[in-house]
Amino acid sequence: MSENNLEIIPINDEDQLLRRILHSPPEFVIKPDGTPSSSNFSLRTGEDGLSVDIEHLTTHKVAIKNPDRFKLYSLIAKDTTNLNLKNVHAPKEDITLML
Amino acid sequence: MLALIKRPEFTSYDSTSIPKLFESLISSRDINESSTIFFNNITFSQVISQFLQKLDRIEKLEENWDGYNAASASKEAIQNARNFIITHNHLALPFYFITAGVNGEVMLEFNQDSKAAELYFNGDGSTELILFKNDTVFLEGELEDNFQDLIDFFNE
Repeated sequence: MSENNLEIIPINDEDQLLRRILHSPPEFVIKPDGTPSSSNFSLRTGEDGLSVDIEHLTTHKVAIKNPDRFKLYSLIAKDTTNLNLKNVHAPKEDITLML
Repeated sequence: MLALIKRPEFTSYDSTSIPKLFESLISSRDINESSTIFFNNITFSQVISQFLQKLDRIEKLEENWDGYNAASASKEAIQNARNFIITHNHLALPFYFITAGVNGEVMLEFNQDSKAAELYFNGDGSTELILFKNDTVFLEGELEDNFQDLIDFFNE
């Protein structure tokens, strides 16, 4: 169980991880070549991981929060483990995973 | 040679931002506040104008603008980024992208073929410069110590 008594589950390599990216206005964090700026994946001071949602534990409607402002991007969990990053389930009220 | 001088297509800067531009010029070029400055003579390339306009929008970001509790942009970071762009807009640097960071910093990105650079203006006034060649870090340091490296990197 997590600190807030939420169940901890294993993250499988095939799990899809979701991350909101600001998309209004579209060019704000999306570069001219269509890729999101690295600033989207920077950690806030004091953070020990990048927050994402696990697709099978949520819905796109919930994860996107505000479709007028954000688009939802996904990546497969093994892409991060292939980079020697750990996928750790750290459930929060509105955030479910830290990379 | 410090850098090549570009001959871009010039575009006038958005007049609504002239007061901020004035403040930047005063602080960055030691112009006396009583001086008369003719702003009609100030023109920038289209990309530089777009960068300055976007910087104005970055300045208006509120807390949590990214949906993950990002800080709003620091005034010092905004000012330092604006000063850099205005002061060095004529240099042969491939200005590519500008955005806000999650800790209040402003990030400028340069990109040319297999070379890229990220320049961070942090909220505490410090800077970080990272040069990439073929997506691999080539140099990492502060702008103050590596400005010439930045210029040389894109002009060698």
